[in-house]
Amino acid sequence: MYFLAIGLIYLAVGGDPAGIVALLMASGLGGLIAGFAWHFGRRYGTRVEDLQDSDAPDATGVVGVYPTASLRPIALAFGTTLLVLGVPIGSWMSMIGAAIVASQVLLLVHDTDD
Amino acid sequence: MTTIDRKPSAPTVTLGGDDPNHLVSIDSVIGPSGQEGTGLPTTLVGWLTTTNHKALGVAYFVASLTFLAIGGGLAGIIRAELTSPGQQVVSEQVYNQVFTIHGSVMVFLFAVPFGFGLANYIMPLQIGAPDLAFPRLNAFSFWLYVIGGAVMLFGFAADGGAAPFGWFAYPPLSGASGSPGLGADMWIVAIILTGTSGTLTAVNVIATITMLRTPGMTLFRMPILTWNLLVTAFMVLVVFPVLSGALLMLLADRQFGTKFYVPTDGGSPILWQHLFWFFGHPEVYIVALPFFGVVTEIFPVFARRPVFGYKGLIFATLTIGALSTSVWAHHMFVTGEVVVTFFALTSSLIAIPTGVKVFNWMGSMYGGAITFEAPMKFAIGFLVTFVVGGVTGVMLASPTLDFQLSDSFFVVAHFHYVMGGTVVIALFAGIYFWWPKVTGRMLSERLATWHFWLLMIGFNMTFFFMHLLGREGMPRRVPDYEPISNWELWNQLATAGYVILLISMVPFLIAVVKSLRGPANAGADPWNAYSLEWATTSPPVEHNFEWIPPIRSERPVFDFRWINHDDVGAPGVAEAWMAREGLDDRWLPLAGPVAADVADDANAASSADSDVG
Amino acid sequence: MILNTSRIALAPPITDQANETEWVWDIYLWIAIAVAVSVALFVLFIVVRFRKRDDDLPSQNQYNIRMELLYTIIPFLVIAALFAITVVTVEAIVKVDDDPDLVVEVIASQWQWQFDYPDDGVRVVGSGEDIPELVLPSSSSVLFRLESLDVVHSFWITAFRFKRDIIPGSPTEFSVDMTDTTGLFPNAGVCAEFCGLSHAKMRFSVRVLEPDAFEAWAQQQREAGGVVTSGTPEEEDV
Repeated sequence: MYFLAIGLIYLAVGGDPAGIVALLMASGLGGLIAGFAWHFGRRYGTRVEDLQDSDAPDATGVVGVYPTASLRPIALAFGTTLLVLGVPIGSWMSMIGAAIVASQVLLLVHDTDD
Repeated sequence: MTTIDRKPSAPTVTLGGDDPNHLVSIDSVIGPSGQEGTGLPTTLVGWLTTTNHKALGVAYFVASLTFLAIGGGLAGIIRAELTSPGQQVVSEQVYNQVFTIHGSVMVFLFAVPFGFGLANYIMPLQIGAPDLAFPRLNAFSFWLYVIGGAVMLFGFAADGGAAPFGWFAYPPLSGASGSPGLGADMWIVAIILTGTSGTLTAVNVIATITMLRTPGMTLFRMPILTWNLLVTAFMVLVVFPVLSGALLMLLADRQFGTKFYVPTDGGSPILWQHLFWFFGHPEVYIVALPFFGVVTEIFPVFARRPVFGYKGLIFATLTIGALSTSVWAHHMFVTGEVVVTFFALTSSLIAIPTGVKVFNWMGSMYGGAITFEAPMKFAIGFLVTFVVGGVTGVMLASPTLDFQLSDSFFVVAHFHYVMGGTVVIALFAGIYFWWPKVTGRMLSERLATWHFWLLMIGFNMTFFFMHLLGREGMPRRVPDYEPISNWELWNQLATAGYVILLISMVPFLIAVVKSLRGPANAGADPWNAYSLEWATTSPPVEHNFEWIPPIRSERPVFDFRWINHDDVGAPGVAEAWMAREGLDDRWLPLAGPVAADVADDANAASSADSDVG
Repeated sequence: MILNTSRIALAPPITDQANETEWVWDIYLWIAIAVAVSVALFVLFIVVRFRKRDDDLPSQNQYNIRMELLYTIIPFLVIAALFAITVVTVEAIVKVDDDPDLVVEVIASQWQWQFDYPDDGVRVVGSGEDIPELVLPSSSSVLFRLESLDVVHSFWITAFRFKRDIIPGSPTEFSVDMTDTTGLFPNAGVCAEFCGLSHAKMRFSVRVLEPDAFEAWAQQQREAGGVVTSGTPEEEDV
């Protein structure tokens, strides 16, 4: 792993503590992502998209179903903003935000089930 | 690159006419553009509730350009104040808020989101996907970004004004006692929200690129823009959470009395600097990589060449992505608390893959047949400007020089060249390039020429003289300066340059209005371009593609245009086309003669005769 | 010096370290200019030479490994050489002198400087609009101990070609070897790290005296009470 190597080099040249921690933490983050990709690469095997000689018709039928327009995302975004903004402004705002987020998540799940 | 062997008697197809040398135009395959719906909403409610990637892409473009206008307006206040020594225009207090929000708007609300706009609109088209992987998440990200941005700007209305501590918000100045005031909290909240939005978009981009490519679109056949967006998304995943964490600690310091960054109680102000720049330097590349991708799409098309060193370019991008996460402390050379030589080395090394990119861009043009439509003008302007910012970057990577130049106007000049100028110039290259695809209309070339030259002159005039100011010791973030020798003159030239920059937007806006009033007659592929987005109508239909050409290289549209010729496009295209025989008309819209009835010697052509250009 | 110094406000280097920085600057600057100009000229050449002339499709050659290696290795060598220069010089610049001729304690606060000369019992402070004046002896080694009382500041003297951030809670130090240049450098010192409302006004002047004159100045000030509140009058200019 790139970060691990760099972190160890930095350790070796006697860097400051914060730098070493940051680099090693970053190697953890990078490793997390790489491990995830590797795991899924194994689980799915080679897919038709990755074959050198496949053509569009080979995968016809998997276009998928796409969601219709929805009010939930913007409402969720608004609720999240109130939730976080309530930290400096006042807990009443956080509560309104939390209520919006909770209701919209419920509605979103409900929409998706349809 | 292909597994199909080319036999001497490779079958040759004749598409779209009897002439074996005929170049196939996309329009003749998919029919005229603009006949079907565009997938874009027509009502306000439609825009507010859409989950379509193209609609959200357009929304990203419009929102980020609006923030560019706001950030540019704030820059005007800065330039007006610095036109002469002393304080004339605004108070110190307001000035500090203005440059803080200028920087924050430009970085967080303009440059990064424009790249996400490209990831929204262009990327799915380039890989033949019908939408992003998670459309509702995408809509959520967008609105989080816009509302978060509004929170930042509303800081000006807060008691005590907006955040006054610079876009990198060093504590203790950004702490509870350093900057009381709600505006500062609103700034922190805004950055957390937009950062979260960016993280979610990155997840979406990675999922889309890994899972929704059309068959035949292998990783090494993806356009460079898509590659760069992929690398950008990975970088976002690594560094944005670090920023959010750092900001949460800062917010906790301010609101709940924690002491993460409070030096008097065992906290560590330098911790913030590490965390912030661990995010902050990769951020520069998160901003820049999508725009590198934009010009990499443009150079080859207008030089009629393939992109030179395709794999080398991808490798360079990956190298930049990796290196960029270990250079952050070059922002902290002058703290005396980091190992300067280590970070000097990594920071200098990053110049090498960047240099490789520059050479590859030149290689893509070298030996070509270049025409200078608006996108190409801006791309070349980008290249020259970027090199100036690049060489000053190497200078700053040397701590010996950085001890002098850090936090001076030299730095201001440097990062406006690499982040400001090149991003804006490449952005306009991209706008001129994809405008026909998004709107179905062309932009005026004549007005574009005016726009280009005014922009180049204005930009260089604004920022070049800042190098000299910085070298002579003018520090950043000052509303006032001593009238030492030429400082006043250089500042006035910079202000004049800003005015020219402002004027350069006039021809662009006129062109936009004129274009939108005109007829949608651009056709699917006005530039004779290469990548898959040009294989659909302009603007694209609801789920992007009704038909997709065979993909055997990173430029499927080029290969298809030359399908009647052996030896020009990637091998295997004609075979793939033949293999479609027997499928329904959807795959073979040009039902005409699909036959091996043409002798090989008739079309060993690299001497094209007709439609090129 | 590259530019005509008579028209340029840049203070001349007054320490050995600054002289080091100067030649490194010259090397970097010329290489930077050479690279930027040659890229620009090459782009100009391409643009003129390879503009579209006929309908022939140009070469579609996409890879030239030798070429690509070449333009990876050459920048690498240039970078390596520049890095070597940097390493050599930066060591000399950041090295702290254990046995300096003079110690100056710099205390930064919003938005004023204070300079203490512990060996001489002298303190220089700015007051209101009057910026303080840092007095230094020429041809001596000087150790600066830096401390901040509130937020992050940065101690920057252009004539040193050097600055150092002062982070509250972490006192820091650096040393310089003054050359034999003497003179008054008005407004030569600034706070380079943004530190709040009146950041721009946080400046000081630098006066370099002959060592004997410096001793005389220190003694005079000590006898006068040891606290200097503003710069010495102009007519005493050296």
